[in-house]
Amino acid sequence: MEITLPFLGDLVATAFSYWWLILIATTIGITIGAIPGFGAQNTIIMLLPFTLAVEIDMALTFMVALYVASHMGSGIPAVLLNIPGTGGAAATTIDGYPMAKKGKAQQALVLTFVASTVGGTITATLALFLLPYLSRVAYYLHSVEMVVIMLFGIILIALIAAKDTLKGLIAGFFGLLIGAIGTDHIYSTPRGTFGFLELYDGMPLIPALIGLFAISEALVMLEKTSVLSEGGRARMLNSGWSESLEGIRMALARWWHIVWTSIIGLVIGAVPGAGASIAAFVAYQQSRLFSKTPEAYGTGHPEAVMAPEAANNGVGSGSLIPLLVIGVPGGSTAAVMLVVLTYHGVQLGPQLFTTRPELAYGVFATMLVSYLLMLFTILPLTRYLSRIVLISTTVLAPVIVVFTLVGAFAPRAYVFDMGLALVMGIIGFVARKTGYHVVAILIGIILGPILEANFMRAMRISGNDATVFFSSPVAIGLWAMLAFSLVAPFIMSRLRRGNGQDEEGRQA
Amino acid sequence: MADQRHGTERPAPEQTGPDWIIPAIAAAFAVYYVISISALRWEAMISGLFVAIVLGVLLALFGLRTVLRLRDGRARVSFEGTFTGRDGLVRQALLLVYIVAFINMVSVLGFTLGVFSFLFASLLTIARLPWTRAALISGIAALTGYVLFIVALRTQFPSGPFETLLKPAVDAFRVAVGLA
Repeated sequence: MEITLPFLGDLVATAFSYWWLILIATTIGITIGAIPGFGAQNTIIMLLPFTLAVEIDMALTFMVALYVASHMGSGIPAVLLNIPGTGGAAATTIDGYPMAKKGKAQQALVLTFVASTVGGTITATLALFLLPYLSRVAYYLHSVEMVVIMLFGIILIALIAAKDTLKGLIAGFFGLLIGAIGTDHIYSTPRGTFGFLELYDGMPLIPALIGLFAISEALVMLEKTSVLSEGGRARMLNSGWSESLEGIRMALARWWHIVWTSIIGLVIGAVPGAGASIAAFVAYQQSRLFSKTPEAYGTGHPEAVMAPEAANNGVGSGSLIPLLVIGVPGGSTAAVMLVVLTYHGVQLGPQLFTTRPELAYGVFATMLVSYLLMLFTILPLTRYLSRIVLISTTVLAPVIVVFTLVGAFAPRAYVFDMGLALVMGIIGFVARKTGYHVVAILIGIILGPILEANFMRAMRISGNDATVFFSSPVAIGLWAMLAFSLVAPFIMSRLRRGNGQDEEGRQA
Repeated sequence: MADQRHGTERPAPEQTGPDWIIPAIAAAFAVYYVISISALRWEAMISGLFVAIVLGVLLALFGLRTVLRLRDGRARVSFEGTFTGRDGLVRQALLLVYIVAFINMVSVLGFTLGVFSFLFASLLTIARLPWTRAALISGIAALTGYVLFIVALRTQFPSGPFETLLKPAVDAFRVAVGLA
């Protein structure tokens, strides 16, 4: 179906007519996004009695608004407390938290909100027009290519997250091995489970996330009585609305940066299973690679806060594309949405665009309206939200721990998972104190099972021939990109050093 | 401390020792993992084995790098300054004790009383707040959590005396708003 301006106008007007529902959904979404353990998919599951009872367009509006808001909300604790609400915001901690420690929490929050909104709006608009083309991305990526993408992801993260590449790789592969806990995909025999039945399904991600980030951060916090440095505290106490305005100015001045990093998220999101965590790290790495000040990354650099947030929200649009076009959910939240849509009798796939175009394209119109409404409701709150860092760590740490511990319990209702979060918290604490970035461990845990599933599929299809991983042009291209990413930082730093020496030589 | 010999500044030796804790844990886990899969079929063990081998190679490289740095004087073994001072350690130890207690008691106390007890004890002893303030903050936090997670989001948290007492009222409320 051709998209015309009147049709688009109708879609946006219809979405706007549900403004009250969008406001409720985005408020819930931002809140649950900001609490580790309460992802959008869990909340939609918990609210199934509502989404199954109401009309389909109302249910879809509610789910989509909640979904995009949870992406935006997950950046809030990442910036303020070094704890990502979801894996997708893990890359935001790298520069967001250092900004908060310097007393620039308000600015950092504004950067994340503007990047999320602009990135989400652009990708939702692009998705509207490029739906048929983007949906084909998934056709070119089979298990072979997915294995290379996963390895690409873990190596990128090792390079980005740690100052010491070797330590980054050790952390990443340690995470991958933890991710390999559980029964195997073919014979269902338990591996590395320490005899715990609760680990037969693999390492649960939420307790791992909560332990590695929240509990370990709470323990680190208790070494001091404030999150802020001395200068940071003074800055925070004197900060006013001008900080928010400065954040908006900084974000808009870098609009192009938001555009291209959000497109990275959109494309990666369209690949089923790739997810927001990889997209955010790829965007962060690409942003650093092409930056004029790569040395500022990791110290609280505005572009480094915006890139992962824009990509993270781009994934929101991207992951719904395979769901709508081919009926394959691009992520776990999309999978829950699939269940609700199927219950309402919606046939997903190409026919959806001819039988119910207002529903198929309406998803992205709802996203546009949600972002618009969210920006105007959340921006004024940044000044007050950022004040959280003024609270003493001796009060903050116990509050963080208790609510994230119950978050660890929530998805599976196992007390065991709270114990697991504690163990991961101690590992995370030691890792933080000794230069191993917890992000690399977490991403390893996330990618481990996906890597194994795709690896096994590729091997079985090829009759256990390892050369299958070099058998397609796309895979070879991805291997080349992986190799380039490994050597590019060294080449770029040599080039910069060379330029610096030339400069010094000229000055001398 | 910089070495001023030969007129060039040499950076102070890096600290090593604490950075072996994670590799030690990783190595121990890798060994356990490999033992746990040793009797399995090829397909069940190959991907985990691959990761364990790569991890082993990385740990060997890390070991080699450390030995070379120690030999050249670019590193020294020291645990100094890695972990915090006495006050911080006491706070961290108390928090860990309360976490263990919370995990063990939450099934009996339930979500609301469990959260209240954890926060009250923590705020009293770690934050050293007056008991009235500690009780007020803990009470507000526990009740907010109860309303958000149990009443609104219907999360299956452990039930205790508080949840059991209010269950009929919450069920009636859900029926009234059509979320039963």
